[in-house]
Amino acid sequence: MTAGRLALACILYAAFLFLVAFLAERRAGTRLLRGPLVYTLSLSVYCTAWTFYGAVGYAARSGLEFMTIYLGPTLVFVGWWTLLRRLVAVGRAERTTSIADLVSARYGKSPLLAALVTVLALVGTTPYIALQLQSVTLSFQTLAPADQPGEPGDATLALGVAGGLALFAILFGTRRLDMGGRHDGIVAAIAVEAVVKLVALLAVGGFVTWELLGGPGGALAAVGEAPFRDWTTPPGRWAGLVLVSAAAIVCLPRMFHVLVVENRDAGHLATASWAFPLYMLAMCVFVLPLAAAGLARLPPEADPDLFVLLLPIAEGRDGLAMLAFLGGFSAATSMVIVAAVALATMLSNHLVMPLWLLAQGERRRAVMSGDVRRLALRARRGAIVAVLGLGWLYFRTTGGTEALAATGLVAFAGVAQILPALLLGLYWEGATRLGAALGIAAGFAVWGWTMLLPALAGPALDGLMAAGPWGIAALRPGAPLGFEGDPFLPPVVLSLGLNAVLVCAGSLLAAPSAMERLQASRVIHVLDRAAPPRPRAGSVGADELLLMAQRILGFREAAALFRAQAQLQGRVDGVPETTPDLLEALERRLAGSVGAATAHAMLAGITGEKAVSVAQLMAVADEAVQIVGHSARLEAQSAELARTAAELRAANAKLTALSAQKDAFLGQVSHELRTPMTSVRAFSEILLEPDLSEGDRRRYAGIVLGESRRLTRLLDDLLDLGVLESGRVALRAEATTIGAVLDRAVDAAGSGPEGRRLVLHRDAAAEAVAVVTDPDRLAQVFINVIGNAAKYCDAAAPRLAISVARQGPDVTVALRDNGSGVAPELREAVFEKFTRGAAGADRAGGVGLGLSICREIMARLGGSVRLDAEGEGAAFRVVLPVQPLWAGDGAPVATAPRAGEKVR
Amino acid sequence: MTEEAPAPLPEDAARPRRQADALRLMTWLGAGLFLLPGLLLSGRAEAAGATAPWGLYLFAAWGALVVLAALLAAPRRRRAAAAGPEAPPR
Repeated sequence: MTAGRLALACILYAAFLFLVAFLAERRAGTRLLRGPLVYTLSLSVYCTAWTFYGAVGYAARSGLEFMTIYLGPTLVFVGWWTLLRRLVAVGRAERTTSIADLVSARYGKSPLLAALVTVLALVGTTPYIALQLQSVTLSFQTLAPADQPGEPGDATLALGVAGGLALFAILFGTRRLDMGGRHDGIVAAIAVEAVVKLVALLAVGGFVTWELLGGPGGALAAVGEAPFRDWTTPPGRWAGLVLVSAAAIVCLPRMFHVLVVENRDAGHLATASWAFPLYMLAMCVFVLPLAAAGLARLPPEADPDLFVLLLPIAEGRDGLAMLAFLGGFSAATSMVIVAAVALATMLSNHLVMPLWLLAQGERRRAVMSGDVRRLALRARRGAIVAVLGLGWLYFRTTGGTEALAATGLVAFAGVAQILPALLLGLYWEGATRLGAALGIAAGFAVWGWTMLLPALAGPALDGLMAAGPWGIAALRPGAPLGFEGDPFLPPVVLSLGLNAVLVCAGSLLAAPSAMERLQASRVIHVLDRAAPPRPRAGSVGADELLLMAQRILGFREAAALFRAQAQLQGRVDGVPETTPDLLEALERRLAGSVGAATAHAMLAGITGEKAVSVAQLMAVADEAVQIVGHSARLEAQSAELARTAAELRAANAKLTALSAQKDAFLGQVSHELRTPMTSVRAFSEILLEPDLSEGDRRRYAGIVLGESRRLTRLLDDLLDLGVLESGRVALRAEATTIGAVLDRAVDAAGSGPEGRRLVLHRDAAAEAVAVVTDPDRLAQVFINVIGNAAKYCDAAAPRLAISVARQGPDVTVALRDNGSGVAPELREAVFEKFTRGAAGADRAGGVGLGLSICREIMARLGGSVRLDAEGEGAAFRVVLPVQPLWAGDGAPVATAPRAGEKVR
Repeated sequence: MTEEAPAPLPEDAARPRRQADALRLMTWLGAGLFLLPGLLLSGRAEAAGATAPWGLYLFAAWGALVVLAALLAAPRRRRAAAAGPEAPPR
């Protein structure tokens, strides 16, 4: 193929792209252009000529390692998608125009930081642009060898390509100043180019796999026998490459441009999360067979970076070769166009405009002089020419590099230096401008010294490369700290590590300014929809603001913006008041044209608002604190409600249990009352009969009397128990001795027939223990216990031994009889109401409340009564405090605390 | 013998949470799958002849991740929409 025809093909293809871009600009807003498909395809500017030609070359040299360049971005899109979503959200909220703009906006709209990132991006991207020019030139010469004299040389050809691309970028990249308007023409063109390069690579790959290698099986076999069949990646390098390429996908200026600036709908990111990895997968799928076939079939001196082109040529497939050339051309040109537009925006917004503003000096003059819009656009166009010129110059001076892959990696590692400041800025509110600037500057410096310099190294630098500066071997550019061999991993680890450490350290050392704090909060809470508003101050007329806005946005747009604001404020005259909202809206709009830092500086200049005051910041913070406080209150209330509900549930359960107890008690009481009542009624009826002997009548009347006495006793006991349980009992403290109380009890209990039978064993000396207590109540307890012994003791000669012992503050009275004792199954229940010993039930004639009353009385007196399980017979042990716990020194007390209550 | 129709499943109320968990796990799944060859092969005897089999492995892992990401695209779109198309102008 002759050079002329190939040049014509290039021009025709370029004309086609111009047409696509032109039509897209005319029909901007159609669904296809605004859809996720075009967005995903535009992301393919990631796959440059370095992918199209370089991936095969990389695979031929290092096997699988080439895949890392695509695995990193896949990881980001598939796994770290939230990062992308956050980036896009911040980009929209702050109307950022570039990655430098975003970093600057995050760190308090710092112009210095924006300029630093711009310089870094420019230095990192220039070799990359040169690489694209080189690939176009190389492929052109491969397809149309310069065998005739008078044909254009390398540099001239590259200059022509650069010129054409500059024209395209200027035509479609600088039509408007506002980046918010997006570049439909450019996006459409690169989407078309994305399809062309994919189809071209798949066509060549398919041809090689099926025609030359005999299908997938043959391709796999060829890969298995290729020189790169072994894994040669040193430890750590694989992960390092994945990390750096993952960083590049967000930090490369062109990627940020298509990913964030050209994004129309955050929902498109969801489609891109799988479609873009799929695109990269398709680009890579034939790389290994292509490399294997190229190494096996082409002469050894053939450049692996051109296998994609050389294989069809060698097989005589001119059409396929032409398609491959156009694919590579597409890959190179789309990258250069987007990179040029992105870099030019950064250069004009962050270097030219701030310098111009500085030169303008006074604010009044800045307002009154010429049209800023024209200046900004001119700066941007000039910057495009400058960027492409630099790329061309780089290509011309270095004469092209040996391997495409090495240059690409150097560029990746360079822009990755933005990553620490960017990531920490997006997720850590404490990251500050000082930290970001220190980190980026240090990372940039280390990268420049250890990666860029060795890549540029010519004969002039040989001495430096071999010995290091001032003969310090540890500082040799190619072998930092003595790490030789791998030109990639040690420099990357050193530069990124130092970078990240400095971002953190700088952030911890310096207190952020109010503006930084505010922007940090806005960026970090961007997804919460609660980004704090910026307090604004300064007094300036709306007309003055309008004048400035017109100079940047143009007359019509500025007027429309002000009218809309006036409408929002409800003003009928169409002139808005200078409110903080107006200033905020205006700054956001201006930021879309000249970048956040410049827009902020311009507005600050005109309103005299130099900085956010602490008081204003406090107002914002107060609002946030109020919201936090409100939410905390709600949480506390909800916890309180949960607690109350739990308490209510417990109380309800207790009430239910009590109700059941009450029912059982009532049932028992009714039963206990009915038995004697039945006897009384029955015998009263008998007594009414006329022919009854006197003896019977007396006997029956006696029974009626006995039963009614039992009833009275039962009712007395119930009342007594009721009083005791309710705690309303009146206790009378009195000084007495245990012996005296026992005497009274024995007298009372021993009066009955059983009482007379019972023999008591007492020890008068031991019983002389002085106590202060209620003697009547205590006697009641003893009467009960002694009465029980008299009733239930089943020994032939019943005996009751009473022993008294003083133990510390208490006195213990043990009463033990010589009967068979309480049946084991009754021991637990003996103090419960209506429990009676079975044997003595009839004989005893009790109601089964005695011991319940005893227990209640002892609890009131501060002591206890219990049944001893061990030993022979029934043994009750009454424990009583010598001094009453329930009252002061002998003073009468109305009520006593319930058992278990603390006594003060 | 007639089989009883299975009772209708209760509506899956925990689905959004499980989807969110799946999205979070994708990060680690992807990193694990892609970093594996570097961990297993570098500087070992297994590195010999590893290009063909491990190339197949990487493409398979890559394809699996693409499929998983496509399955998770719908919840992602909802999340992106929930965050709002444009920050509220204040």
